[in-house]
Amino acid sequence: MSFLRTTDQIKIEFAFNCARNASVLGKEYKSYVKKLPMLIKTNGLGAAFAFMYSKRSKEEGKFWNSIGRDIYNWLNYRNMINSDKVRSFDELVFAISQISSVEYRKITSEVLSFLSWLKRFADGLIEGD
Amino acid sequence: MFRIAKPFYFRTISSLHCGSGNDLGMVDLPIQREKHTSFPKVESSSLKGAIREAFENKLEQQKVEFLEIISKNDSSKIGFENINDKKRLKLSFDYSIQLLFGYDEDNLDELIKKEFEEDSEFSGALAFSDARILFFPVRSAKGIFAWITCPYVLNRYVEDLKLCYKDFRLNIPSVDIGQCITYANNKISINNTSVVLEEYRFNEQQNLNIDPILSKFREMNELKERVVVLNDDDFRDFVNQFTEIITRTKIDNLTGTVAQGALFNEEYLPPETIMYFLVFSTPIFQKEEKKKGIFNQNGKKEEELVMEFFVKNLPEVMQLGGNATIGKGIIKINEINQNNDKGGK
Repeated sequence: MSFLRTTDQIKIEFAFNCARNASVLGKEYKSYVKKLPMLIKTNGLGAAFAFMYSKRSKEEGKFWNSIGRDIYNWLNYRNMINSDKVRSFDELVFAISQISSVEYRKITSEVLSFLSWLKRFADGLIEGD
Repeated sequence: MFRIAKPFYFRTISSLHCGSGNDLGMVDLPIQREKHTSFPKVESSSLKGAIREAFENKLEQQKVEFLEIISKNDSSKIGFENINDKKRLKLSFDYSIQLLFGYDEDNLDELIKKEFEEDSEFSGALAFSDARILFFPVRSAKGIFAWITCPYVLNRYVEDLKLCYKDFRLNIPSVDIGQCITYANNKISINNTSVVLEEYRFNEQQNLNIDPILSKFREMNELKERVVVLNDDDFRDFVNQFTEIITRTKIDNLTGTVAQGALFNEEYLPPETIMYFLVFSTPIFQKEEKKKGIFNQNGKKEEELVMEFFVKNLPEVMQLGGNATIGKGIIKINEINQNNDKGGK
């Protein structure tokens, strides 16, 4: 086999660092990360992002903002968004309403795949149910 | 080697969960999927087991009635002499199940066990393929839902059906990403220009004609109103992102609130999913002619008798997959009919 790292390996490392940095926010972080994939799957990515955006300045905003930032950074790292035009998660929420169906589904798949790792590491790093 | 192949299809009446155990992804209990396409499938062993159970659980009355006709011609084939008639016929039916599906001594009558005492190592005379997806239901902005499929799935279906009908051929049109093909006068088009599935719009390219495929289904007219052919990649996204996910939990009887650690979710194929599978038959695998029971008839090929036994006794409605106790996995099975140009048996 080659020495090139698989996309999954890079994703794993990225997600692990995100989860480790976010674990200081408190143990509720875990339940928010676990809830998000289902929100996306049942309501669609646009609606789930809009929901996260709506919580921006509320009490639980710190968790959603952290997850949103991590999602944005990962998509940016994978060159799936134009970072000159879309500079933050808040701008991404609006930007995904402008992209084609095909792009939208591609990004949905990528976000879900990233969250499945983030969820796993949050689960391992943070105590409690 | 198999001599006869026959195609069947089923339509899910309630949600269907043929599980693949645990998963590391988003869903705790995912459904079975093909490795190379990620399309939903039903493993042939799940299918065979469920069909076998449906045969074993048939009412005694039905088993007896089916064999009464055969025993009129030649009652020596039935075996189990010195037993009163009804019980004899039921035993013979259950004996036939062993010959068709292979030997399984669980809950088997002692008299049948005795028949196989010397030799219970033999293959069943029936074989099953995996069930493959053909039409997948998706929410539609107009007409409630659409049945989506794609060129890859349709071409594969045509190839599979060639095993049963030699001269079955059909040119499947190609579709671009973001486009779709539908029948004229359907229920799901908006202004005859596009179809909206979940939250995605697909522009209609041309009128569809896959009559040679649809005419073999009982639901032909229903299908024509709702079938949408999408690009292969679009289809894949839908069967991955729009299956049913059900969250389950447990309520603690003492507190009346959610029990700790009992939250999990599971994936289902939605009702109205249509899948197809093939059934193959061979001559009976027994060394001695007399062990072949009702399948040893002069002038008739064993593999034909095996297939006849299977088709005539196949229940139209049965249960497949997990969670039977919460009403899941009810399916309706029908033959895919070669000479059926009107729909219907």
